Amino acid sequence: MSPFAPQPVAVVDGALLCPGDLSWEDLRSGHSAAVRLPETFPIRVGAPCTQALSHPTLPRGTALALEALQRLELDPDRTYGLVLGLPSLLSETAYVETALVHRNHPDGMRPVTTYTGRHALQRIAEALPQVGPCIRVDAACATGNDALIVGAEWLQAGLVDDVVVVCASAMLNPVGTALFHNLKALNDRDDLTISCPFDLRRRGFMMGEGAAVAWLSNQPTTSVRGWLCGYGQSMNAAGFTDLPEDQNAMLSACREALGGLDRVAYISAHGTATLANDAAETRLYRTLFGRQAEQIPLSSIKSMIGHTLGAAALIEALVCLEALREQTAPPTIHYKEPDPDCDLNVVPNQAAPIQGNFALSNAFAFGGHNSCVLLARERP
Amino acid sequence: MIKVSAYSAAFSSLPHGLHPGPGIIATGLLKGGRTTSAAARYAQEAVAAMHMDPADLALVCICGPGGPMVQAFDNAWRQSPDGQLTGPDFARRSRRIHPFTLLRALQNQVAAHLSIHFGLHGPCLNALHHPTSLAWLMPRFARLLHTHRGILLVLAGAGEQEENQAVRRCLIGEGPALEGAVCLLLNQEPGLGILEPIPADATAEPNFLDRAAPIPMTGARLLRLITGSANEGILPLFDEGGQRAALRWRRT
Repeated sequence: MSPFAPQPVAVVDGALLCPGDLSWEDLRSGHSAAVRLPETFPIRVGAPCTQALSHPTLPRGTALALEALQRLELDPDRTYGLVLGLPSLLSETAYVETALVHRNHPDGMRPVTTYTGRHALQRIAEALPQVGPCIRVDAACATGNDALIVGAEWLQAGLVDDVVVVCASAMLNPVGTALFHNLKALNDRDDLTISCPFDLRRRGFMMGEGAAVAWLSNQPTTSVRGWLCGYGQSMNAAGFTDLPEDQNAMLSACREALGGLDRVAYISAHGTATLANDAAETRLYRTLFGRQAEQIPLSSIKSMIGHTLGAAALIEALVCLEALREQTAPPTIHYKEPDPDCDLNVVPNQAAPIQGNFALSNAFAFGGHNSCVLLARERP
Repeated sequence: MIKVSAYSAAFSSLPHGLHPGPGIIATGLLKGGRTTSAAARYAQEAVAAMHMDPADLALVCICGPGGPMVQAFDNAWRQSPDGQLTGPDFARRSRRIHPFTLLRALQNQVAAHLSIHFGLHGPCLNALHHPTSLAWLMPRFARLLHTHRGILLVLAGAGEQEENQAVRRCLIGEGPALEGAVCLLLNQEPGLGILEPIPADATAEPNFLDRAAPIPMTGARLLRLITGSANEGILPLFDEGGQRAALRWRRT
């Protein structure tokens, strides 16, 4: 076997900070985090974190990341590598407001220097008991999977024995939502059920915010949450928001993650509820798994928590591990009108049993970045 | 360790110690386009200056600021009755923010733009802001070189205009100012030389300018080693938070 074939990596533990502070149990039960937003927003509905998480000096994204990290109990005697995924900056209203006025005045920018490039990684590293290499990655909506992959690479190369992967997103604010809304990516109807992946009525995603953290290790000493067994990445080279007719790049990433498997117990779909994405994913899975695709449950928890952007893929990976552990797929809620172009088993409205050891979790991001991870309940 | 087969660069102005020549160009200060950040434009110029087809290469980017962005909010801001962008009636005024602002502001802009422009389909990783990333990505380089013809490594940044320049001056004063992109082709073939991680000198105390150097400056320092007359050299890497790493360059 090639020394560079990915060896399974233990996911020792993880923690979620979902919109509405929903837990795995809430997601399994099909709860929704959708609420109506204030009138300053250009859209009516979103999925905020309901805890009063604020910090006097830190950007909200960094605050969410730290809150998620605090929910994880780390071994204080270990040294941790840190992989941070935190797409932000223009999404933070305070930064934009200040920069508009002071863009040419260095002293005027002082209050928002904590929002700029290097600060977040340093701040979060300070929260670890002992820290090794640190890196910040960004692949838009695929950030979480890319962060897991970098962590796995570090462990497989022996750079460190423990890695903490932290991802967060705080774009659910007037500026962040305006940017996505003007690109026509969001559903702006005044309807708490707008997040309806794979449904004929879908017209864009509902924005959420949140964070997640995962502890990966070469030396797990306690029971683990699961295993990261494979990964694949590719680029579509087709356009910033286009999904190409030729799905070879997406297939390549999925196949690399699957490592020869022709079936999985569950697929965590990217499932953003845009017209294009959900139909394209359906085609993708039919090509990938052939006739077996109809027997594989696939769902999108974005139906419940919206699209949490930079945090989404890591949240979804951790939910996959819970689904495997309980052999239960979370539902795709708000499913009312089937779309003939999305005719796979999307686990409509109620959780469903699954059977098997593996789950595939996919993220297909702006910029044409595809990132896929294969997760397992038991070490293969 | 990894082998470097080729290099190229596009800088706003050539940094000290580098001279114009094959693969190294000065472009002047570049502005972003409708869907392209300034950093992505430098990266495009640098990859083009390598004069090869990168389509089957894996891509790794280490990026600083993409370029000035807040100007995209000016039209919506100037109509505000109270001087706040998100003040009264923001929902209506926000329609004056160009739809492509988000695409230009994406922090994986450089990687996405290179992929689209040059037809790159392989795996991609985009790291941000921290020069030490170059050392921490060695496991990725080693893995990808066993499955791909080569890796296009791009260090790019455009942090010397408007709000980004104001932040830099606020933090470090009139320090090193450089925009641009450096590209290296990494593969298994005998080439220019070898880069390998070495233990960082824990006793070396970097000055603040070294710690806060923008990403293109790290690329420029690496290029000086590659194009210089010495057969060997050390590239120390620092981050503002105190992280340190080091790479050794050896000519082959």
